Formats: sequence, C-alpha cells, structure tokens
Amino acid sequence: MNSLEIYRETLLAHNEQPHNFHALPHPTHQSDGHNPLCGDEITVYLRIEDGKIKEISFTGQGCAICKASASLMTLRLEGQTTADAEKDAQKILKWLNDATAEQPENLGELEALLGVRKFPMRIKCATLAWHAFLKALNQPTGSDISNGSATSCGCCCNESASDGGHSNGNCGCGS
Amino acid sequence: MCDVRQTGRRFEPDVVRKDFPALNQCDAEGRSIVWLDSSATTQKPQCVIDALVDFYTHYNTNVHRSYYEWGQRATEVYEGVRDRLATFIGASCPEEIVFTCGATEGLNALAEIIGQRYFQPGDEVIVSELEHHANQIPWQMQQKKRGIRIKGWTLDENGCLDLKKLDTLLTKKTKLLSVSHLSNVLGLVPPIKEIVDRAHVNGTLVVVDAAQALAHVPINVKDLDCDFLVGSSHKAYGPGGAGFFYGKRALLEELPPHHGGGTMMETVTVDSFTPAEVPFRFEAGTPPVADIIGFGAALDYIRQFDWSDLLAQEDAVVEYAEKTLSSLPFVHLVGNPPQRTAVVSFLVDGLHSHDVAGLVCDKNIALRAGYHCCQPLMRRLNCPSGVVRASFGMYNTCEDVDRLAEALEYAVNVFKK
Repeated sequence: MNSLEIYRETLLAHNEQPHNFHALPHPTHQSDGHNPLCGDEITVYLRIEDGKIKEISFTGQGCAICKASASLMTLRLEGQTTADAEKDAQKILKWLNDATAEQPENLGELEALLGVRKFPMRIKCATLAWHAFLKALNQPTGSDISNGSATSCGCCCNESASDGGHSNGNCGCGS
Repeated sequence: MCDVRQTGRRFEPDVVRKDFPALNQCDAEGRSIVWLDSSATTQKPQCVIDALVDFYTHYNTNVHRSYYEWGQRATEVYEGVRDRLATFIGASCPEEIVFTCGATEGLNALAEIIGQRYFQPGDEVIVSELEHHANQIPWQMQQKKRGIRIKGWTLDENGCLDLKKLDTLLTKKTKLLSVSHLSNVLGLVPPIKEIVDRAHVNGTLVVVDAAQALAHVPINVKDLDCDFLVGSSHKAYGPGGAGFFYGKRALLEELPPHHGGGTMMETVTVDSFTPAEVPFRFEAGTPPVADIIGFGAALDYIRQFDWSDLLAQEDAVVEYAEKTLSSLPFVHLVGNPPQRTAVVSFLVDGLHSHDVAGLVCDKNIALRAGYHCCQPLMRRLNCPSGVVRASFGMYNTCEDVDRLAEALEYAVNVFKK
C-alpha cells in the first residue's frame, strides 16, 4: 500500500492553504481536540446564530491529514443547522472509522480523505477536528451577545458571564 | 538452537544482520526493511526467539515452587539470567537485580518504594528535562501522594545537561535525582558519573534510567556508583514484557515491598505478613518467566561481541547519518550534543513529522515521529509538531542511511507537487 493514496492533490492543497484557519473573535462555542500520542492539537470555533452555524474556524497544529480534514470540515459544515451538521459530522466519522460503512452522498472534496481510511493508524488524524466540532456543540463559551439566543447562564436574562453578567451579579435574573 | 554463550565473536555487520529474521524479510518490491526504530523496540536475534520457543516447547512452568524437573530447570535458567544480568551491568551480586515487566514498571516501583521509605513533605526530587514520561510521571505521582516538590533540570542551548546548573538545584532538601543514561530523542549521554558524584556529595540518591542505554553504552553500576538503575529487555534485543531494576543491596534491604502476593512474603497470617528477602520482596506474583529467559539469551547475544567493536560500528553509522542528513538542505538536526549515540532526530522543512514518517513507509523504512513520550523536552526544543527520529541498532549499516536520505527526498517531493 502506498501512502500516495493519502497525499492526494486536494489534501495537499488544503494543508498548504487551509480554509478558515484562524480563531473567531467571539465564538459562541469552542472546543479543543488533542491526540496525546502524536501531539496533534486543534481548537474548533463556532458562531451559532438562530440554530445555524454562521461561522466555523480552527487553529492548532497537526499533520497534513489533520489540517486538511479540519479545513474541509469547515467548508462542509458552515451554513448548516446545528442539527444537520451534527448528523453530518457523525456520518463522516462513521465513514472514516468503519471500513464497511457506506460512502456518504455528496462527499465533494471530502473524497480526498478516501485514502486515509486504508491506513488505520492515520484515521485519528483525520477524525480529530470532527470530534472537536461535536464536542464544541456542547461547549458554549458564554460570549453570545449578538441576539441572546444562547446565553451562558441558560436563563432569560440575555446576559453573558464573560461580559459582566452573572459574573458580578448585575443581570438580576436570580440564577 | 544457536549457542551464543561465548565471547569473542567477530563483529561483521552483514553477518550480524542475518541473525535477525525479521530484518531479512522483503516487501512486495523485494526491498528489505530499514529498521530505524530501535529506540522504540529492537528486533530480536534468532537465539532469543529460540529461547522463547524452547521454554514453551520443553519446560514451560512457574519458577521457585515446582519440584518436578521442568520446574527446577526453569528456576535455574531464570535465576541464571539474574546472575548474567548482574555481571552485564557490573552489580556486586545477583540479589541487587529485581526483575520487572519493563523499565516503566521499574521506575514506578522505585518511585513507590523509595517514596514510601524516604520521602517527607517538602523534600525535593530533581528530574531532568530530557526524561521520558516514564521517568517523570511516577515522581509526579509521589509529589501528589507525599507532598514532595519536583525541580526540573533544564537543558542548555545545545540540549545538554549542565553540571553547574545542577549545583544550583541541589539543596539540603534534595532527596533524589533521576536522570536518563541515553536520551531517546537527542542521543545525548549525560555525564552520569559526574552527576552521581555531585548528588552524593549532597546526600542525594540517584536513579538512572538505562532503558535506552543498555544495548548502546557499556554500563558498570559500581563505577557509576548510582544507587538505582532500570533497564528493559525489549530495547536490548530481548523480548517485550521483561525488565529489571538494580539497587545497591544495602539500600534494597531498607526498602519496603510495593506489591503484595506470592513470592514476596515470608510468613503470612490472616492479618499480617513479613516480607521476603531481597530481591524476592519486590517480585510479587508469577514473573514473565519466558521473557526473562529470552532476555538472558539477548544479553548472551550482545556479550559475544567486544563492546568496542559494537560501539565502533554503531558510532560510525550514526556519524554517517549526521553527515548525510545534514547535507540535505531541507533537513535540520535537533539538538547539538557533543556526540550522538544511537539516535538522530531531525525536522524536515515544510513537513509535519508524521507526514515524513508516513511517506518514508513507501520506501519500506520504519522510523518514528512525534513527541516520543517527551512533551517537556519538545517544549524546550520548541518543536510543537514533534521530531522525526531515526534510531539505530547493531544491525544498521550506512546503506540504511542512504536509503533514508533517498526516502526523505521522495517525501519532500510529494509535498512540492
């Protein structure tokens, strides 16, 4: 088996010039992913508004597979509703992890990860960002001040802890 | 079975390589494997494999308890390894050797028994920045458990351990210092004897992690005067699952057992026990008998050769690797020790270490990339993407280095497309 099956043109291009490779200034959700054995580290940032992923980005360092997969993920998930994106990410993870899983429809550029599936030791590089994304969905940062759809305290006061809401008791919501 | 319990065999690299069956396999394209991952584990000579097969085929049994012939034979062979290992590292007597399942178990055992006996809250333990996680975390666990304080011995700009720096770290509270005999990343061999001398002047005990060094550096614990030393079988051409720790007898006599079970006790009542003598006090339960017997065969295999011949070969290959890799414009060696032993780590421009390791597989080359269980060292070296490591054994040749250089050119070209 030749690892050129992994290092396809699309994958190399996304490694060289990854999309959305930066931190978001005010993410509503954020999570880290870490492969302690190899050292790949990724942070995924989300800006969720009205139940939709308005913005998604990542930072960190990892091998070409890790970076390209994260870049491809941001392109695929941006604009989806959180529910659809969650399902989609789970489908992609299943496809990457399970050699018998059917190929999801409309893979698009993600087909670049096809070769990785044949190298079990490298699959964790490709899945890292996706796991971080799923984790981020459940990790609000509490910095949503734009429309009050998701506040850090989970109450109705529309205040954010990081912006001086519950942290100093000013919101008066009682929670 | 080849009889290797002899010395004075001439070291001929091409002939030696034939002793290692795994290295004589070829891939679909007829290429032999270039094994540059001996720091992770060494390949095994046929005599080691034979010793395992012989044990399981002819006298598989437990040790120290059976009266039948197999039991006697197994015990004799097993205890014979203790004798040979004591000789191999220059211990005063076989009782100074405690068998373990590996170097990691050895370091954890030492941390626990030394901690139990000697550590008081506020005591200090010095651990160098070179260390493998196995020589860091057991002490950190003691820190939590017994309120000791760990002081890191940082590296200088060349990635070496500075003795003057050590003098500033040693205080009245410093109970122990633990240091690697050979860095699994930099190939650095610290001046162990000088380190031990300085520590002892201060009344500080010294643990030496010889997991990497055992097969590459002649070790004499009496000369070094270290108090404890750990080693591993599988990094010295022996089977996995076996290792040892050495301790000066007088110190071992003072130390309590850390595991309870068979063998480690003398008398047992429903609510109490008395510990067995040294070294059995530290060997609770059934040991990995076959693996330790295989370890003995590996020690015999190494001892056939003169150390000077072995070292001359390994040093020549490592030096050739340094020269060859440095001449590639896209390769940068990591660290700058006065001499590299068995290990050369490097970075490749524009490529993450894992992509390098993945791509050279296409040329049937096995090497490792990443942190190598040394996160503090990676931070010190400022290598967030880890490093690529070529590590050598007695079977490697300059031709292996040439094949590595070609494979690196190939890897870089894939990314240039």
